[in-house]
Amino acid sequence: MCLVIEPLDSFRQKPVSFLAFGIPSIGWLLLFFMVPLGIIFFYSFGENVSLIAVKTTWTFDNYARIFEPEIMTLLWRTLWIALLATAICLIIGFPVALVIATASPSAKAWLLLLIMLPFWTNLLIRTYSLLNILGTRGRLNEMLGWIWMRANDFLVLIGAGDLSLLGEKFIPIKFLGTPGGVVLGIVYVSLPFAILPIYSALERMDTSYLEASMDLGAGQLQTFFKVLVPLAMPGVITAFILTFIPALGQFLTPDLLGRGQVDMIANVIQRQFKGANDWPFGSALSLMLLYVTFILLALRAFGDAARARREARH
Amino acid sequence: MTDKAIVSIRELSKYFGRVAALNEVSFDIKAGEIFALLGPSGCGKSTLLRILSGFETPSSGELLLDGKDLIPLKPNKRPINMVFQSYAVFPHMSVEENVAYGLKVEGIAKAEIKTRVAQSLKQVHLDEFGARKPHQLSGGQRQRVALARVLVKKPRLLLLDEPLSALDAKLRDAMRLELVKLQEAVGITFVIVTHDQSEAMAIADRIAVLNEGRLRQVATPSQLYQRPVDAFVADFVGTIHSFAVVSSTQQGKDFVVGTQELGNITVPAAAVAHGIYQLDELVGNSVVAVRPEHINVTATQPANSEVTLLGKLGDIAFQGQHSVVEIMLDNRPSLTAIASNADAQALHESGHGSTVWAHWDTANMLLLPNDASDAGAVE
Repeated sequence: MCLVIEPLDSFRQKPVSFLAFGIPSIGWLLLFFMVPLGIIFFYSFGENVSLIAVKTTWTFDNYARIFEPEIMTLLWRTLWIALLATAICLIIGFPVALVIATASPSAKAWLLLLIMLPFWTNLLIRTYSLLNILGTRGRLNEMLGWIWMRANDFLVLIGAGDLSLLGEKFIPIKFLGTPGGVVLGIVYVSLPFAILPIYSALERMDTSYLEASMDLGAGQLQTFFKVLVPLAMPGVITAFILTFIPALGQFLTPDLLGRGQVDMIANVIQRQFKGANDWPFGSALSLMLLYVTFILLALRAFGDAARARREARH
Repeated sequence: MTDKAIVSIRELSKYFGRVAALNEVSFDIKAGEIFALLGPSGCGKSTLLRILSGFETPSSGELLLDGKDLIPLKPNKRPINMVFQSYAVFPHMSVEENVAYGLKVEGIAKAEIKTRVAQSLKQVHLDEFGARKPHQLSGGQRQRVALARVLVKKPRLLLLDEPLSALDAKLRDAMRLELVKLQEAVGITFVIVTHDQSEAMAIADRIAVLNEGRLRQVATPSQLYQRPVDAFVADFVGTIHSFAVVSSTQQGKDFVVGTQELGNITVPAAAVAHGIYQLDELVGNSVVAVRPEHINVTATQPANSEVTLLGKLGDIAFQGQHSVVEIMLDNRPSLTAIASNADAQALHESGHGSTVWAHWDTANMLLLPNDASDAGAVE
């Protein structure tokens, strides 16, 4: 008897072997992802009936509470912090990705290693070290204070002022407990996720597009904005998704760097399941993001279908 | 076509590390001609094209366009445009936007861009396709977009990098003719880079043959075929069978050279390559050669041919208008001869391996140096 290796797409003919491979992962997803999600879904329509019991009464109260001003403020803050952090990641990430993509093969390997290196340290430890850097008496303020002193010395030297132009005393910048500090922290943890997809898009790009642009009379800047960036767009979109969606759900960074004063949605959800002991409301808040994602995906599918119809008419 | 040089290349060299991609190349390109750079891969033709377009800087030498130094000009400042081998049609722009791109970056008025784009698309028969995206086009149509995109710029010089290599055989033949017609219509000087001698022969007014960074010959296609300067050029532009020269004497104007396979051959002065070695240098440095279309094959001994070789009948390949007959020889690679289909059929009946005679006249033979640049014969 001879063994015939079937191509992968023949699962229609051989459903048994397909299932043999598929069942473990499908089972895993069902048991540890779909079932808990289902439980959360039922909780979100429930009420607390005692300290520990939740009864699904199909009430919409939990969802209605999302529209309370306090929660809307929280959602708005979550959204703009995530958007700002993502925008900063993309703006910093694009040039870095471009440098790596155009570096010599050996330099490329080292630069990529540097980008990956932070992943080898636990997120918690990295965030605590950020606390050390961003604190009022942290390293960053220490350095800024030193620069302030030297700048003042210089001004005195040239006779432009005597501790008057820059102020009496260096006032440390407050990073911790401010939205700025939280944005900085999110940028720090998300940057590799922005750089790598853009890098991979640039790396695969055929350089003859850039040469053609120059050949047709475009300068470096025109070539960058009219050819390079548009052609790297798929990578930029992936980078946006990989940065923005986790940024929306950030818990640790606002918890530690925000000092409880810059809550994002994940911090409030966590509080519902712990201190506030309001599982139904926590569930509704958790699922809201999922609903928004579904709506966005549906809109995109409609958009694609409409475009396909338009093009078919041509 | 006029005789005025539009591009002058003088002793141009390009080194990558210590390797010379181009070694002191000099020639002129005339205004309004189709000029082909021909050579095997790695011969330096692509480097020369990239120097012309401005993406490489030569290590030494001069490059003039209309008498002005071109080397300091950046690619985007040169009145030279290129059709890339991959076409490099921008995938995120429509056909119209692609063609308009080179005018937009120049800051030309919108109304003028519109008319020029329309005119250019008409020239390449894509006037119906302006709104399409490149992924909705075939390879041949994408190439036309690349052509329209450079024609619309009205360059002094249009460079085409292996323009037909990505097309299938039938489309390639059609595109050859179309490129020639297009060039006649627009009057722009075309420089075509190719490794395919039949493509260069069919399209170009003149051809420069390059090998290992050095220029071997610049000539019209027929000159190149009939009067190659050396064995390399003769072999590169078409099949040729060469026999090494082992002895040489002179009889009046004619050369008498000895070969192992053919014995002594009297080569008429007219068939001696220009700038051949001195008589005493011929041995070991030169060959006498004959092309397949001059070789006759018969099953019986020929009555009066000047050169005769006895061999065995090999394969016969039917080519359409004619057939190619292989003659197997004892101690050298087999010869091929072009025969009429009727003659080939007659030979076929005598059977594979049967004894045949290959014969030809010495007037059809060429006496060629192995490498003309060694003999100092490159004009």
